[in-house]
Amino acid sequence: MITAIYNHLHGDSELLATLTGGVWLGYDVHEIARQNTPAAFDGNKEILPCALLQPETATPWGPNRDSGRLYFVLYLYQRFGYGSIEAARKRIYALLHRQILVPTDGSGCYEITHSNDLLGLEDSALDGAALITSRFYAVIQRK
Amino acid sequence: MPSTRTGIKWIRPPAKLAQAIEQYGDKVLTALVAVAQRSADLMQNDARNNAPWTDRTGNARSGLFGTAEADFARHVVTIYLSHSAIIDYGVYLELAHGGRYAIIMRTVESHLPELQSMLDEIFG
Repeated sequence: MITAIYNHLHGDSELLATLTGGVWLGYDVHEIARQNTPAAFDGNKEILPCALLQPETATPWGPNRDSGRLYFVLYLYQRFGYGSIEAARKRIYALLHRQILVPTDGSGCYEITHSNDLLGLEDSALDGAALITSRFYAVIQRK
Repeated sequence: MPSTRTGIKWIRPPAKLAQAIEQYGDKVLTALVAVAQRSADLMQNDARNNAPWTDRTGNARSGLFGTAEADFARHVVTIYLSHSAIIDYGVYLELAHGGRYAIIMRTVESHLPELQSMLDEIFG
């Protein structure tokens, strides 16, 4: 399911035009860092506006034995200011909230729902880069 | 000869019924508080057991705490799971490195089905 979400975001040209440092999947890169995601940094090693999709928790949910929830978070980074990642946050909401995606692993998806956003943060591990987090959950059929 | 008196004969007067409903509400809220405190205790234990960082002093792990609080006037029960107030790097653990050392939301989310199940038992 998380791959389907990543593919959906990564396939959106409007989002990629805003996030010039790319959209990354936590399963692949673990975190945004100069070693792990060099394309997320410019020639001066400064971070470009970018996003990291991290799966968070998977739990059973609802009356059906195989139904569950998958919680995931998007970490949005920008070197200074929030203009690009604020636009990206809104675009991601439009792309995911109340959407049904077809998972690549054969499981089912009922709907993705927006949960919460944390605005105006800073990430001290990335030299104080501006940070926004956007949390969603997908109601899924587990297989 | 049929009775000339008509109307409703209250076996239990409405005032007593209202009182009973109010008492039932208080009982439900008391049960909710017990469930919330139980859930907060479980969350605290899980968070301390599963926090992914390597301990240096152990303060961050032992500082994770869960509790529940009831506001009877507003009919609100709140469950808290938090880092200790004296651990000023709790926000760093939760947000830095793409959340690799985060524990709060993961723990809360993983306990929601169990909490839902306990609440279902109260409300039938």
